[in-house]
Amino acid sequence: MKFKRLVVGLAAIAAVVASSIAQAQQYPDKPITLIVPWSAGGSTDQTARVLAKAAEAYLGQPIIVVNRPGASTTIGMGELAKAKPDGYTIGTLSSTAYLVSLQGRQLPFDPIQDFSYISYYGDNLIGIAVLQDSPYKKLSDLLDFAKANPGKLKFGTAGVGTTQHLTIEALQRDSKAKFVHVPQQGSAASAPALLGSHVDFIMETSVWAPFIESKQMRLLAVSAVQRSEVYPDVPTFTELGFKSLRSVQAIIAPKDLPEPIRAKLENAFRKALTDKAFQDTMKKLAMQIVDLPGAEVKKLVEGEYALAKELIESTKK
Amino acid sequence: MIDSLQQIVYGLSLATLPQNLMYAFIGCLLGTLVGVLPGLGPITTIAVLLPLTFQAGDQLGAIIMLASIYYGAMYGGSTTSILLRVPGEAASVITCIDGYEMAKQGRAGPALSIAAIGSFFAGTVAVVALSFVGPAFAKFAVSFGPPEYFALAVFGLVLSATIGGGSPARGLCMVLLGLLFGLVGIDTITGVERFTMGVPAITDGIDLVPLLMGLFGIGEILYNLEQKGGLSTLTSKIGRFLPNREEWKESAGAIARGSGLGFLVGLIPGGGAIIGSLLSYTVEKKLSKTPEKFGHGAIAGVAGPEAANNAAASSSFVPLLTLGLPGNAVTTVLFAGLLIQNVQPGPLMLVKHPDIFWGVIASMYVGNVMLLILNLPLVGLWVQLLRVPTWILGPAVLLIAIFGSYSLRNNWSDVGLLMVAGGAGYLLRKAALDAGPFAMAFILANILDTSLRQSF
Repeated sequence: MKFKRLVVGLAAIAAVVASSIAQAQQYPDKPITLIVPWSAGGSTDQTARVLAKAAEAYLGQPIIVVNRPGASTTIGMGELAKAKPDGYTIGTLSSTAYLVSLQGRQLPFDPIQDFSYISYYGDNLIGIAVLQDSPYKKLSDLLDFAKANPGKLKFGTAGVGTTQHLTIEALQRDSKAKFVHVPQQGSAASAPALLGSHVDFIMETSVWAPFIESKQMRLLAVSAVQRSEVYPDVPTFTELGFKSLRSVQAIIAPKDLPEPIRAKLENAFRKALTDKAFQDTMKKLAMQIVDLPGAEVKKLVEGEYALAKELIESTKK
Repeated sequence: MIDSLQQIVYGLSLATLPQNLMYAFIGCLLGTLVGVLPGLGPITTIAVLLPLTFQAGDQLGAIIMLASIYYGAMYGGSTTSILLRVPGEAASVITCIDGYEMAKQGRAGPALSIAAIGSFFAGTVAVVALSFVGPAFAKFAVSFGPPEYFALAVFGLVLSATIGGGSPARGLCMVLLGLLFGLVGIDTITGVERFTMGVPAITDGIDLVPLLMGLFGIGEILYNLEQKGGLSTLTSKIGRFLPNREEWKESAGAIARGSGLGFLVGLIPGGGAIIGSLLSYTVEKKLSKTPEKFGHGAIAGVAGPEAANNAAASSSFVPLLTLGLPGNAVTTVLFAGLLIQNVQPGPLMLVKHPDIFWGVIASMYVGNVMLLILNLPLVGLWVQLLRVPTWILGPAVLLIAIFGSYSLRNNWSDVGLLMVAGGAGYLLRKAALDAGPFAMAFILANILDTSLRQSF
């Protein structure tokens, strides 16, 4: 009797293990959905579409991109968090997704712990731009003036609590300079604000790029892991001794995604980084390609979250 | 001047290539169609087509098509506004006020014709202005800072209380309500949610399209279903298709002024077609010798705003192409379309992609002619719609509106919003409260609030 039960038990275990292995081996046997929590046409949408296209080759199944925009990514992220962790629903992660939870908003999911991390793909290049004829040639010029004249300089960003805004908060805290924040309605609105001299400088994603080329604006510093290939003369905040936040672009899935499936996806998405069309799109949007394994993405995101939290608390003092 | 002429001729030589003519025609047709269908607007259409243009081998052709969808929608948008009081496109909401009244009086034909003709005139004037002074106007666009926006919003708000022709006190109440609802969502300045009651669907604010469709369209359908015999008896008189001499006289000035106003408003980022048509309507009402007619079927109240929204749609290409600044939601999607085609809009566009710049502008001349030819004969067909019994037309419009609302963000909550707004629209109609001032205040609330606080 006992023996029989043992056999049945073992057989059951074996069956479960075998089926999950088989599941992972078969995976993927149907199309995969990639949730982009932004509208079609934005930088995340554009880059994720080409990356997904490239990853299809390594997965053997089509990846269907669906846009679920709204509420600063929380609508799309909420949907992803609730999806079945079977590898058929994955999504993109942008720093906005965890930064919103620091704005005192109640989210129906945990922006970090409720997800599995597949891979990283890049950083938005964020930088301080001033008008070409402005007297500030280096970041230190700007800081010196602001220290001597606290509250005289106005800066524009895409909005309160964005990576752009918090990086300036870090700069103010560490340099003791004082600026006035004029939040704009999204990145696109920042460039005209600077062009019309309604603000003295902007801290923004690559909206300044065409104006740098036409010599109407100048970049003083960028927040990037290393100097940008496109702007090799512009120093990074890190080089200048200031902290900056990353503008994360990663591929994630709901939490508890089985490891074999996660590994398969990681492999496909990291290999896709070498795709020519993807690299061209990233360059066009002045974004830097960064390759990181899934486990490190989570650590990076947790670190960024902690730093952002610290910065927001310091602004409240 | 000679230079510009040469450029236009160059652009026309590109725009009249058979394949580009075809792209422009497809765009105009699609634009008219989504303009006519309530809820489906140019934003969704262009966004849906974006991934397809990835594959299109023809850079210029793809961009011409996307652009013509935008201004094509401005033509089509007036149709259901006039016939059914359902704004086919957000910018046509003003046209509902007098256009629908005209239809009720059996003057749907002249209203539709004047909307098409006004659109054609304004579109053409705006393109001419664009080709000759466009790039120079880019400076004007960025000089518009928060204080100027605030002034514009206050101006619009003051005028909007009396927009429907009802009692000013009732109008004012609706304005205040509109402001309140317009402020729902995340506050730009502090990043804090306001009046959202924890509902994620409205953290970005209440979406304009389902709100307008509900308040005007669904509300009106419900109201009509309740009337004996429904809408068709109200508007069974079809009458002439073309405006008579008196109507021409009333509209000519309105079209000219609407074109100018719309052009200027379209230039400033954040302006856009809807504010252009609001300003035009109120200006016409102030200038009119018979302001009491407004709200009761004044043709100038159709001609002016329709001209203005077309001119604004065309002139919003100036900040888009020469500065790389998308001024409104539609041009934001167009901006992405240009990037996908490897064209970086911005100050160097004229130098690096003169073919695209002049090709697109020249295609707008061609597109406007196409749209006029397409739309005028359709007037006869559209007017026949009024013969369709309400019990068929009502549900059909409702279905399209539901489809359109869902397509905005692929989200059922927008359909829910449509229903709630529809119920509210019906109640307002019953209480003889005008939704026009509400809609205007709702649109202006965000500009008013943000620009005031950015100015400090």
